[in-house]
Amino acid sequence: METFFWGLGIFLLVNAFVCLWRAYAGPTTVDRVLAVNIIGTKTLVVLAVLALVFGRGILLDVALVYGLLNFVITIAATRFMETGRLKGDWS
Amino acid sequence: MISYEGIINAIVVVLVGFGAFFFLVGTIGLVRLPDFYSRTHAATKCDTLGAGSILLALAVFNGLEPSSVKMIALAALVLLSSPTSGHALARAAHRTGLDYWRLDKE
Amino acid sequence: MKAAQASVVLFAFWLVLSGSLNLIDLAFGLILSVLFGVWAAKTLWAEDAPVLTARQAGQFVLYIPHLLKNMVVSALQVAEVVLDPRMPIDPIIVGHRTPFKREVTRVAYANSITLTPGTLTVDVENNTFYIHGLAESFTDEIASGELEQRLMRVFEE
Repeated sequence: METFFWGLGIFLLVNAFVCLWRAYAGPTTVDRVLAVNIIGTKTLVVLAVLALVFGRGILLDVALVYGLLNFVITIAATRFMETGRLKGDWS
Repeated sequence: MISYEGIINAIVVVLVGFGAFFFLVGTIGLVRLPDFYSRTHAATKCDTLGAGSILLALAVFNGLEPSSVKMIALAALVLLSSPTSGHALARAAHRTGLDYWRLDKE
Repeated sequence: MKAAQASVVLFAFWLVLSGSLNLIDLAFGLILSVLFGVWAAKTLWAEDAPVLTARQAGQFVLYIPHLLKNMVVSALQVAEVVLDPRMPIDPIIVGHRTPFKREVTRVAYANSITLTPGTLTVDVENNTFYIHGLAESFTDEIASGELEQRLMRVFEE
């Protein structure tokens, strides 16, 4: 079963690298942010798989913080794209 | 005679296969689809389901432990945040005037 | 009252994260969640949080399986489009007006559209939803107003 989870982790990492091509190619800023967001989701799952394979529970906390940061980064980036600033009301 | 562990492993393999398939579809969609809006379709739907089912599989494999609850919490986080960030990105694209790809009808 | 609610939720989250029932851990978590609960009630939930009656909450719980089923169907539909070599899409953005009165209904509607096969909420202005569809047949389903009626029953009765 451990080999199976190693395979899953490698599969997800290969997927993440393919997504990295979209972040490189663009063509617009939103495409790049979307690609980075997707890579973040995949990394989160890889971290959870590693936590199970290595038996290190702390990696799950890392994954949780990673997921929350991933969300905040996307929201901040879109907000900056729409309004050009990060403080004040979002209208 | 089928053992309890065998049943658990079968469930895990099926759920992981399901999730991995949707992750693959999300990646192919992100590369193949012609414009940002359709890529967001692939990204939000397939990746949410893929992450959700793989994390559920990990929790099932782990059994009744505190860390399983954490894995379910991770799945819930992805389920909530992924459509929201997809929507935020689509809104930013729409408000900055990004036009959508149209089929050429000749 | 709002501070108490937020503290209870935060304490439950703390229990999930720490995963231990030591007295020191519990006391530390209790202090932190009360502090953050008071802060959150002052800043994050400064405006009214959505209040659901017991009947609405029950309807909402009944709505969740429908949403999960829709998620699987829509992911399969995207898979079908993406794996087809011809890639049969004909995207369209349409505006759709709705009669919702509450913010919570709008949020639920926007997320439900995103999880419905072939559609994605792009923008919301007052009560007009701009919806991107992978083909016109998908946005027609939204325009028929069935989902809208369903959410009206859940949140606005």
